[in-house]
Amino acid sequence: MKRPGILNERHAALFLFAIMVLSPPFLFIFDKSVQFAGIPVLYLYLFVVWALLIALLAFASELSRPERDREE
Amino acid sequence: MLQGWIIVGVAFVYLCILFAIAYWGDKRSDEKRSIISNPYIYTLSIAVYCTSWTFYGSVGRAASAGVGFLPIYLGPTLTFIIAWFVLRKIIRISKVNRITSIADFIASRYGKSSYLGGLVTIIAVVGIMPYISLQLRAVSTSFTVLSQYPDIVMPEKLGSVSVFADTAFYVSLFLAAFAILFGTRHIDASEHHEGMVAAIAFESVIKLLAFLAIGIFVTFGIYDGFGDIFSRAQASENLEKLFTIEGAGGYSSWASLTLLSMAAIIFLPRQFQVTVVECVNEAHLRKAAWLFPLYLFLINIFVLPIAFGGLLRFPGGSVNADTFVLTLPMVEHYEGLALFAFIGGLSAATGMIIVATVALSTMVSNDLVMPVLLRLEWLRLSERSDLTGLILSIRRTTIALVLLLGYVYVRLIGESYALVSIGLVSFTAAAQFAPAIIAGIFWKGASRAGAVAGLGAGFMVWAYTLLVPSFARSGWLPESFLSDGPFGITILKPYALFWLEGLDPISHALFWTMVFNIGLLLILSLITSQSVVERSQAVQFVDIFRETSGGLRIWRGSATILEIKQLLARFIGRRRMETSFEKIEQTLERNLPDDSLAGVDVVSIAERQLAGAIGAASARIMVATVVREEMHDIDEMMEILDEASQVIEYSRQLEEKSNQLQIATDDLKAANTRLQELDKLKDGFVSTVSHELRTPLTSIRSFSEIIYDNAEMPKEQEREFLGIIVKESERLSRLIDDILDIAKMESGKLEWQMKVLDPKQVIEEALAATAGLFRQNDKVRLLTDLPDDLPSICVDSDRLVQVLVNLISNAVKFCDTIDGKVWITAKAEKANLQVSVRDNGIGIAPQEHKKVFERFQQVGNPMTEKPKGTGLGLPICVEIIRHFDGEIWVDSQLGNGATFSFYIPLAPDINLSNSDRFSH
Repeated sequence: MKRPGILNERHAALFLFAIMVLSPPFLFIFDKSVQFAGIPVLYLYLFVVWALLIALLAFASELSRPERDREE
Repeated sequence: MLQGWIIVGVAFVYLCILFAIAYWGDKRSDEKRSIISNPYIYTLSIAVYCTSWTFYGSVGRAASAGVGFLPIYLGPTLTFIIAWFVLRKIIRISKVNRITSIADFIASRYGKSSYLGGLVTIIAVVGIMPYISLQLRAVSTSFTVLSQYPDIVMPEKLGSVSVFADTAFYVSLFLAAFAILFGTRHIDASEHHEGMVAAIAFESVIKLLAFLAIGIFVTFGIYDGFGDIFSRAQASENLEKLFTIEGAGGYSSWASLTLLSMAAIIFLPRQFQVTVVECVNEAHLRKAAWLFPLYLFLINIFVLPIAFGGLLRFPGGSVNADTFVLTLPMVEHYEGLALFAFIGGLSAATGMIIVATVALSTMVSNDLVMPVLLRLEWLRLSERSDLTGLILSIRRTTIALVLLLGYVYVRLIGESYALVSIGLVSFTAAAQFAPAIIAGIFWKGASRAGAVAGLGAGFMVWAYTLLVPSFARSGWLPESFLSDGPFGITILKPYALFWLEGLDPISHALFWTMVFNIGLLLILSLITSQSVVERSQAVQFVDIFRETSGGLRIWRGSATILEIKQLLARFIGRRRMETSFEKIEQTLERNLPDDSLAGVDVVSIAERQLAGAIGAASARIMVATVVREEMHDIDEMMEILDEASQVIEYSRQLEEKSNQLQIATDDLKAANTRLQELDKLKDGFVSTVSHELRTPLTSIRSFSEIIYDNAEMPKEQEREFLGIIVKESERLSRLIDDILDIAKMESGKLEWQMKVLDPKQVIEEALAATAGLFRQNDKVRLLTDLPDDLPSICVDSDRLVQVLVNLISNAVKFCDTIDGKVWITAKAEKANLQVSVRDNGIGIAPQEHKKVFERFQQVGNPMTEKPKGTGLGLPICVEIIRHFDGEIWVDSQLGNGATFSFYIPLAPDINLSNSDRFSH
């Protein structure tokens, strides 16, 4: 049985993760004029991370659907 | 073939389709078959976030700042990750309280303050105005550019046009008509505009499809995929810097734009409208939470390729990057695609304008105009029977005015700004609402004073650092205002306030506005106290997910159901009022007859319904006029207090009763103990009496037996023995008499013949009765001192004689055996008669004084001396004297004789000789 409030906790964790990967230290790593398959790595990084975040968000939101009524 | 009339015709057809969809949506909503009640339409309606700024401006910004456009879309993604606990809370609060706009929300949270609502409305109108004008300009620019086909000419090269030749003007008119038709069709307690939402969702689909079409065309039609475009850009010297964030405006800009857009996605009035107010079901938020970021992702994929494609295709900056979406298909002679791009841009712009103006009009009417009108008593508005017309006209006028002002702003500012910069000015204004709302829903202590001060200060700093400079840059203020500060005061330079340099204008403004906004909100909330209403609203907002958060009203209304109904009918119309009341009756599960008093529950539901129509602050004023809020009524307060004190009194009485019970129980316990003691005493008495009876009986029996057994006993001895028997028999009968007497006295069965008498007579009677004693004991002399004028007493003569005889016989018994003397004295002392009997015998030791009055206690050693009395004489005397309300005592020293004295109160009145009055 899942704990009530797990949805909130997952979203909170995801939020912190998103802040982290979009923060300057991580961006510094890719903030270089280097291309991968013709595409600048910064662009690639940002869009891949963005897509990943959306996928995780969908995963976190949809998987716990049966728990919905017990939230809060 | 892209003549002006074709473009206008297509645009007109597109707008007609919008009308049709909106009309259909409203119709379905009236039939209760909503088409918007699903998470997909909800997501698409939230996508009104993507305006022409996204459609044209993102490419423009990407062309100059690379990924610098992205934070505007990453911010909302971040916000939507935590939508489930921030947005959902705001939605739930708004549903419960019938919130109709962001101004209403803030006003309602901070004690339904109409001043705060007004302030938020003003900030919203002033802050959003540039944004609306941005959309108008985008439409007119795109039309102008497209109508020059096949040439690519920028509008600024064409010179200014008159108002009537300006597309923006006609677009304004058209949109005003749309917003008025579908945004202010009727006053609804829930403020849902389903037709409008349906149209907005449709527009979101069109702009996404249009942008994707252009993106695919540019990336794969003109160039050979993403890699091809970026490789070519890499080769171009001045484009390579756009590949990094350093070249894209730096990290401070990155961070501040992320923060700004995180706030904007909720707190822009139009976003609040579609996300919160128009939300049909909060469960839709779950899917929208990831679908909306996905929408943003899709619409942004091709921004960079289009930007670089445009930069490569139009080198040297001859073409404004904001128009690449349009000019790239044009230059490749794809007329249909160019037209589709124009329609996409049009849909992005119109969607934003429609929702923004409707949201603003609701705010202006509910939180700015109505509260003022309702307070103007000479208007007598609160007495008018139907105000729905008035409210609708206020809203319609507002929509027209907002669009007009937006248009004026376009003409004033002209082409001096990029699209994105204008949008960010509005974003910063909207961000001012964030502290008050976020603190408001998570912190009960946030107070109205703090919210007012924070919002006010934030707004003023915003105006000074962003709005005023925009006028300066457009030439309406001297340029030196920006470069040197007002009147050369450098500390007040709008872009470097307090000498803070090195930040871009938006980051700079965001920093200072938040310093003042958050700072004042926190400080004032911590040092001021909240009013009752404020506190109750704060608790309701923060604890919205707790059960039974129905408000903390302690007043009771004095309005009837009819009055409440009339009030509602005036604002939302009779028909809607009736359906509302049917619903209320269903929820409360009871009938509400017109003439019955409206309970707190009904009043509070009605107030919320009303809040849906005219805003929380106005609704409060209106309800107060009907309900005559008893909170301020001192009588009612006293009554409530009274009830409370009655309860306290009742509990005090209970406590007292229980104390009394405790005492009674203790008494009962004591009585029980006493009874047990008495029972023991009785047992003791019985055994003593038996013993006392046996002594003379034994004596009688033994002497009788001696005489019986010795027939030849000398006659003298026989006589002596018979004498003893007689004496013992007498003693026995006396003893039995005494026991009977004392038993009668104790049980109250003795009959008392109370009479007013001359005490001297009684004493002489007693002396006569004891005369025999003195004759027997010739060695004892009697001495009397009896005055003739003794006052009368009220006694039973026989009993008093008994007492005196008892005392005299005792005195004779115990006086000196050789020269015995007995004195009897009587005298009136104060109100008493005192009689003393004195002897000159052996006396009684002081420790024995008390004992002599106890039963069967005789002075002397009972083992060695023969008892001289029954042991009941004195106890009987005590009983008798006590009955006469007197007292008896003894004065004596061993060897000095003893004086027994008693006193009896004198008869109260000589005349009261009627003995019956005193008989018991």
